[in-house]
Amino acid sequence: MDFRFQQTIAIRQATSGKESSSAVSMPYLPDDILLNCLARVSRLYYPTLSLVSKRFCSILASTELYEIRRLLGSTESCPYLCLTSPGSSKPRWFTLSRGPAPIPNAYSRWFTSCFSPCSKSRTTRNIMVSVPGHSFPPQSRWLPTVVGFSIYMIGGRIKGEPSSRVFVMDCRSHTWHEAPSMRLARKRPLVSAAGGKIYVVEGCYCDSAEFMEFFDPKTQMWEHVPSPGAEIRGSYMLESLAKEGNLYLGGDKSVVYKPKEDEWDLLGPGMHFGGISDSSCMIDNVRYCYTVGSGSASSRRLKWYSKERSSWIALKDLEKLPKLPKGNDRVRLENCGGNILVFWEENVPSIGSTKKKKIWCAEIAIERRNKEEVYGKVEWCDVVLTVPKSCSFEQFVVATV
Amino acid sequence: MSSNKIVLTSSDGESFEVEEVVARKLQIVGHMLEDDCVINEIPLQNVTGDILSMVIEYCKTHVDEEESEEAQTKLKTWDEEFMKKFDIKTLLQIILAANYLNVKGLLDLVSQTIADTIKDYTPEQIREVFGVENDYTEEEEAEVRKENAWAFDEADTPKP
Repeated sequence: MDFRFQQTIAIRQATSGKESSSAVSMPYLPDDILLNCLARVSRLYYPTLSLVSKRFCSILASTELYEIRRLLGSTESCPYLCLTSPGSSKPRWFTLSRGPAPIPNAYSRWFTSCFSPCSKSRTTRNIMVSVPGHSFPPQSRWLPTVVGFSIYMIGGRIKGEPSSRVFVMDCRSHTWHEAPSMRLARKRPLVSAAGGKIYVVEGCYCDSAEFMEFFDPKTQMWEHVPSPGAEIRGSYMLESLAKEGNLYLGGDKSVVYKPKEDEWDLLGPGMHFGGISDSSCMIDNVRYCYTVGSGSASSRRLKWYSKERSSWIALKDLEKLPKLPKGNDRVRLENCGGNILVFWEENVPSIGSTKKKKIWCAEIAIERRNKEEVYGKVEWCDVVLTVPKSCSFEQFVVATV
Repeated sequence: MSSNKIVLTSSDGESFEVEEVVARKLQIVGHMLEDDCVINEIPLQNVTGDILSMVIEYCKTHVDEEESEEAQTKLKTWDEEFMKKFDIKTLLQIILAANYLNVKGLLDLVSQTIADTIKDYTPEQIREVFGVENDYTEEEEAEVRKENAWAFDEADTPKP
């Protein structure tokens, strides 16, 4: 009937003869059954699971597994962190992993646990594990953008010159490839993903005909978007923001591009979109940010923007969150599946010759009780990585895998 | 629905007499019944009696899958309690049986239970339970080590 199953058992028994009788009774799961089990485990556990064996590792990186996850509706938001160090042109990429106790010093094709943060008393803890970087020419000043399971590096400079080349990481298998290049290299690109497409806008004074283009991952093509008239476009752009499938651009004028209607609208003279910085994020069309008030540490808070009151209001119930650093450039916020993920750095006293810093991460669930009150709940808070102090936080993005 | 009885026999010779509707929950049996009309004893070579009895227990409970929310909740609670009875090794045997006998609901249930269980295991524990050997060679380890080594590591290691 099921010959494969019988054969597997037979082979298993034949090869495990030396291992005494306990090995004979050990059930051996065929790949399709194992796939079905592993697809139901959270991605956070994949780095640990892939240390089991090569077979586990290859199943966990397979497209079949991700197809099952998609069918089961178990896709997840996975944060990725990119760090660079002076003296190295290669950025290092990390992803979040959850494991039991300290991850042993074993290796897999995908992941290596790099440093061991503290907190061993809990049964699980979160750490950042290394994923392979790319071997393409080093880029500087590139911009990250995410569409589904792909992280794109766009608009970087290679050897100081603007480059049109685009590099992509497939977050399922953690492999890199080069995507089609932009139609032209841009001096000051602004990059945003809206409605599953990537929009690149030239920020500085430029040939108005080449103001904007977009990439459609489905067709793998870059397409030109006709520029709006000068009365709408203005002369420069400083920021771009995707919201509800539309693209908002802010510079000396603020405009919105609606891809569905292929329409441009002037919103007004140069205005900001309300603190689009690394220390803010957008969840369900509400902006959350970290602000440093003047004076004591108690003024350092996570806040949300109330449209009704046109003001920033502090999140309640966050006493469990450790004190965040003073500079808000050292605190990053990102929307991770509807929760706020907060990353920050803390310098540690030097041991030996190298000064180090800890990278902390906390996941905060949000509960909106009414129009006036938003409560935060710290789901977990860990030191996820310890690195030399000279490293700099390059990028922080969340992919959906 | 007829109340025809079917006898299912396990690989170790244990026999179970069940209603045809229950037996049909095992799709492998369902297909046999469609191919040949008159069978009332079915040998199942790849499943032992103790495991088959658990599969039958699941099928008896799930024989009328009612749509009502109340019935669904009740079944869900039953499923949870049912799964709590087994250790991981028994679960692995049940999943193999559910796969062989083709009982979709049980296959999904056990897959999820195994997923929930192994996530908290260390790689060593998983190797033990699944009978998997660590097949990374030292060279592969060294290669991965090189691939993933921090560019910053050199500055980290104290000079001799």
